[in-house]
Amino acid sequence: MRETTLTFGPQGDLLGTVTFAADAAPPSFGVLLFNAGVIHRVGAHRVNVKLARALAAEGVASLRFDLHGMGDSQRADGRLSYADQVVADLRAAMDALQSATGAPSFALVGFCSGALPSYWTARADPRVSAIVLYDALYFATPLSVLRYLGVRLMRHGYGPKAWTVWLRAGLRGAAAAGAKLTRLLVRRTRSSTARGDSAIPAEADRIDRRALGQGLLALAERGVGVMVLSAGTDFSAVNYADQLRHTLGLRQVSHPRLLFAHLHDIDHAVTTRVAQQQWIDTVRRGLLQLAPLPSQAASPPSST
Amino acid sequence: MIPLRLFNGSRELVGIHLEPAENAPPQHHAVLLCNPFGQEGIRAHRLYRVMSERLAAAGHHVLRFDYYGSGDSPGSDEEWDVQGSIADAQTALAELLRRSRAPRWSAVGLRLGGTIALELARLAPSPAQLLMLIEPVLDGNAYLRSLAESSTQALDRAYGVRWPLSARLRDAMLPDAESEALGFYLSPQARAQIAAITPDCLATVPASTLRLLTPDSQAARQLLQHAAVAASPAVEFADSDARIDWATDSAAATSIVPMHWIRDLLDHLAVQAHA
Repeated sequence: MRETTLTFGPQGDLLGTVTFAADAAPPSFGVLLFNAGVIHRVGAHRVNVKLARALAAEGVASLRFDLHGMGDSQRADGRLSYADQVVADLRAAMDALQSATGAPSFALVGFCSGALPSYWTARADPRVSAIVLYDALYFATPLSVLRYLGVRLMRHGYGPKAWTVWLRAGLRGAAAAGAKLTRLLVRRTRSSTARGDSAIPAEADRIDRRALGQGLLALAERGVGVMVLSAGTDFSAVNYADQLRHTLGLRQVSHPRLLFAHLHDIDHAVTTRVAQQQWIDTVRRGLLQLAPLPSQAASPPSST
Repeated sequence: MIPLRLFNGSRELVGIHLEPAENAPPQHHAVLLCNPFGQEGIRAHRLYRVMSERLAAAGHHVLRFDYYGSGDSPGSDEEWDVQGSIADAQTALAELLRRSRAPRWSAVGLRLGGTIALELARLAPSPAQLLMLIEPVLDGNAYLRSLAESSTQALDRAYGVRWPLSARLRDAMLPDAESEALGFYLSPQARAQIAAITPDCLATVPASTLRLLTPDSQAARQLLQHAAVAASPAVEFADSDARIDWATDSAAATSIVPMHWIRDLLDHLAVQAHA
């Protein structure tokens, strides 16, 4: 395994580290790892570094890098919207990894805030052969709400203290519902004219979950591997295996290149080393299964 | 900004060298930034980036780098320890002085980076001008206890009501506090090296100025008096005037950059220039 740190991009203002496999054979695909929130390219608890090395042991090269304005990369010049800029950055990273390793296609690992940029880039660039969307999508269902309320009830019980907690939660819920209603009313009064020439769909501002589900399915049908992962964390967001599949409108859909996995025991930031290893193993296995283009895959993938 | 790969023997390190800005008066004074440990190191990245840019804009050569087994550098978490990091800092300082040809150098260390900067100064071929230690670790055992506490709090916060309810979850996820701190491995030797840190670490440091920014400068002063440490040079204490929890896994505050620390550093480097 070898690593090298380089600058790249049209102005040479992006910075990242390429991890190569020990042998010099061109990898069948490369992997891009980038920022989760404001954390620099090493990732939460250094998981990008650890995943890069686990992938290198499998012969897969990767580039972990900082988007414009993050980590050690320079600030963007502001000529592009945020969404267009991150897509441009990811495409520049593909160029750099292709140039460094000869990798013909790429998997993008979107950790939290990196999920939607991975999706947008897959729609925009045919070199993307797989995307991982990790713990970025939260859509409640009656069952998920019941499960969350159930676990809170078990914790807080039924006494006066518990009723205080429930009362506060109820007031917060009512306030949130009021705010949501206000936003809906405001949105309806706005013009619904086109949003300019941006290639990025409306998800940049507001996620239409059905449209996103159809977009993910369209990618899978195009041959792009799609892996949607969720963390159990405190049960407040996703708390059962099929929650995201159902809320994205894909309940009846089974496609070998569209995988959903719920990592019940890990927290969002993969805080413990055990959680990190579970995340790394899951992503590594998923990438090895999905990222080679269908014609390159050693065996037909299976969905979970 | 120049990305570097440095070699401390077989230990390869990633560094970023910033040359003085073109329009800045050259200071002939290089500054090395020493990272904290583990999660604190990740959270300090933004501060160090902005600090290095401001230093370069003021005419300084600056090098920030990751110790072997940390950050973007080669090596696994298991291979990180304090003594190795001090040796890595020696390599980084040598490279900074070679590239800058600066006759003077200073170092900054946040949290455990302060310990590394102090030991570096003791081993360096020439005395440091300014050692600025920000919220340094002066009691290793207390620091280890606070890391263990932060780890527990992080899991409690992350898993919420599930954590006290599920023995299975705790069995699966609760790390050994002896060997893990906020998701980073602590080897027995790293732990022992940290535990050995006492206020004595401030005694007799080859530097013109030793400046400490601490959350409670009065308490730090008393700690030194209580331990009967005769620091040389005399330590300059100042309140860090910030309430930042460096040891947390919450990403929300990771982009915090206390600019008054950077101004303080620039002001004191300027004093050194005129001394």
